[in-house]
Amino acid sequence: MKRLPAQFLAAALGVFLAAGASSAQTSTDNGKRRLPKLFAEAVASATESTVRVQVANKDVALGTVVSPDGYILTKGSELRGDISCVFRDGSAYDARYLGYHRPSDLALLKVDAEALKPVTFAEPKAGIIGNWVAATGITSEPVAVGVISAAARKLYGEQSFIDNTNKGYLGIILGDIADGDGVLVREVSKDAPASKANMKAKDVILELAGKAVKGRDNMIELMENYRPGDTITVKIRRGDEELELKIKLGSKADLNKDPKNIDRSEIQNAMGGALSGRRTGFPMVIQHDTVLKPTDCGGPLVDLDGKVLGINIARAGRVESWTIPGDVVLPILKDLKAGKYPLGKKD
Amino acid sequence: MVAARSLRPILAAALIGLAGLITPVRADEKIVWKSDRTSSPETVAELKGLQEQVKKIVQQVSPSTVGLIVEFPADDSGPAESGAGSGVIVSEDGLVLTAAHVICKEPEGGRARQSYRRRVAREIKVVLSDGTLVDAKGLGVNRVDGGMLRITGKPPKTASWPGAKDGKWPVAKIGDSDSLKEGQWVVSLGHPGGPRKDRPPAVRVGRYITYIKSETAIRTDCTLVGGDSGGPLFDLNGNVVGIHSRIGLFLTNNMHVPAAIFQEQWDRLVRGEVIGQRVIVETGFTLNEDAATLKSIVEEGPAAKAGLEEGDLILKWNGEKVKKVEDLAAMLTGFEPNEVVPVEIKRDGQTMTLKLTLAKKPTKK
Repeated sequence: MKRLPAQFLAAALGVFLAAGASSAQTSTDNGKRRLPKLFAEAVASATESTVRVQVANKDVALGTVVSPDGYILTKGSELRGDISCVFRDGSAYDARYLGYHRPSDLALLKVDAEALKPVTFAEPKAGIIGNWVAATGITSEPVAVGVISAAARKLYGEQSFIDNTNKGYLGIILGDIADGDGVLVREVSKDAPASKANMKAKDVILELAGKAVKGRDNMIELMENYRPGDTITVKIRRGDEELELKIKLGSKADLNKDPKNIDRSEIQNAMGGALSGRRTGFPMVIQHDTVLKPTDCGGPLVDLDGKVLGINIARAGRVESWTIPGDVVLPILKDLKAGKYPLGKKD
Repeated sequence: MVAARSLRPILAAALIGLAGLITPVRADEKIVWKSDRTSSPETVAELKGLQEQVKKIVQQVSPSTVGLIVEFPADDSGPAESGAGSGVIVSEDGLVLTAAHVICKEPEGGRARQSYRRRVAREIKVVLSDGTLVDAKGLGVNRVDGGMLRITGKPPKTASWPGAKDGKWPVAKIGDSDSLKEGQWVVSLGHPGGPRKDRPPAVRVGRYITYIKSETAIRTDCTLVGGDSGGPLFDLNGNVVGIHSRIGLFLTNNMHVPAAIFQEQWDRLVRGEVIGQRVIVETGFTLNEDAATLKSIVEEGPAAKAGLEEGDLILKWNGEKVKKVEDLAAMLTGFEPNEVVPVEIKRDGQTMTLKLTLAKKPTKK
């Protein structure tokens, strides 16, 4: 059997060891897999308030019913196209996409239904670290179980920046413009999508797909709308000239061919399963060690007493999945319903 | 006749079974989870019992679980670097267990061109549970990724753990890693991604899978990631049974240095020994037993070439004060051949520093 290299675990230091551990499955795995059955009673109520969110009949997320007349909250960053919601009993509804709150990544959908069972978020309480929790799906068993690793906290530093790694990439390094709008191209990586379209260092990006680019943060936000393979028109200023470049966007994996771009903690976090594309920049998160698939985010998190702690928002790393606490969701929901965050608006 | 007799054991079994059903189980009956139990919870009550035990020990051990921030000096392999890991305080006077690779920069791609002594972190800061930073000094390491350091600072004035006012540190006990059994539940604490504001050590729960002899490592399914290195793995008594070291591709591939190794090598690690070096260096001198004085000098050996003489008293080795001759043995470890070590000696009342170039010890046939 091919030996897999093991990764040492000091952050910012990762070393490949020339020997790896066996990956043989043992009987303990069966034991852990039986746990979700024990949560059947705890999740029963919240499961009735959980929907499967699909785009073109493909699972993209789970959703949380928040009103009897059909308002549903879900993870918004991967929603594009015709959305539908499937309930526990198999009934499916077309959903209207009403609003998106970018910091929390919560999207508000509406289905034409009545007498639905909405969740009731529990009052936040202290002392939850170590509690068993379950992410509900639309079957009798939860989609994932685990324990609370860290109580609700604000994110700082790198984790507080909003970014989506699923977006299409140009393969450039951005810089700030001292005066005026636009964003500076500091560097174009070799073989990058941008270089294939003849973008050069010192070009200033003025417009992206017809939208004016105000600065670096604005550029990142605009780029989140596009995916690898999309072709976009980029208007640049080079010297006295204004040019339009058509660029076919690449993926993050394409970029990693440049050794400068390899981040060891990213490599380690990717070991063991897919992560959510948008996994940073949320207002507050509860952290737990459930192994949540990116497409199973958007539904409720419950404890052993069936109390709903919040809405699962991301598979954030190898050791963590994150949930937005219920008391943080509620004011955002109120604003979304009031039309404060319609689609297409920049916040 | 035969039929009747054979029915009796079946009836008896059925009655015992029924009795089990009839015995009332109170809905609020608390199950106490046995710390060495290897099976999964079978009921919600058992799940709650396991939960209570986990929460109890997390409360107990959180103060002794620390983060580490280390600064590495620039060397032949590159510029100065910083890294982050975790550790656990195991003595009231501030000994901390961690992973060797947290306090000693691992060389990229295999063999080190520099010795441990030159790759050891220059500055180590311990991050306490309330976020305060205190200074620490690296001690010994071994080849199976075990490391030890000692806190040199004092508990902050706001510290509230027992003994804080007397300068004592909160301690986690060391457990018996050899007695762990497959399926036994364990708890991992650490700082994935490095210590983070507003986040105490992140808690994960999993199970002991196996001991990998060829790796001298315990494997569990408590997921770990960069930053967890050096952090503690606890049994459900709250005793340290492992120190986080490395991961493999799958989520169930998480490896920890067994606590037993630390117990075996305790004194040597405390003395600062680099244990398990493959290349032994030759100093060209021998020491007396009662004092750090040179007993004999090998003709034309490294000590002779450096100008050392019999009777010289070693005051400092590689810049570190020599307190006892027993400590010197540990201080001599961790070097590579051809390294130049400053040696401060006292000879006939005079103090001087000589430069000793270490040689490779010739292998005896």
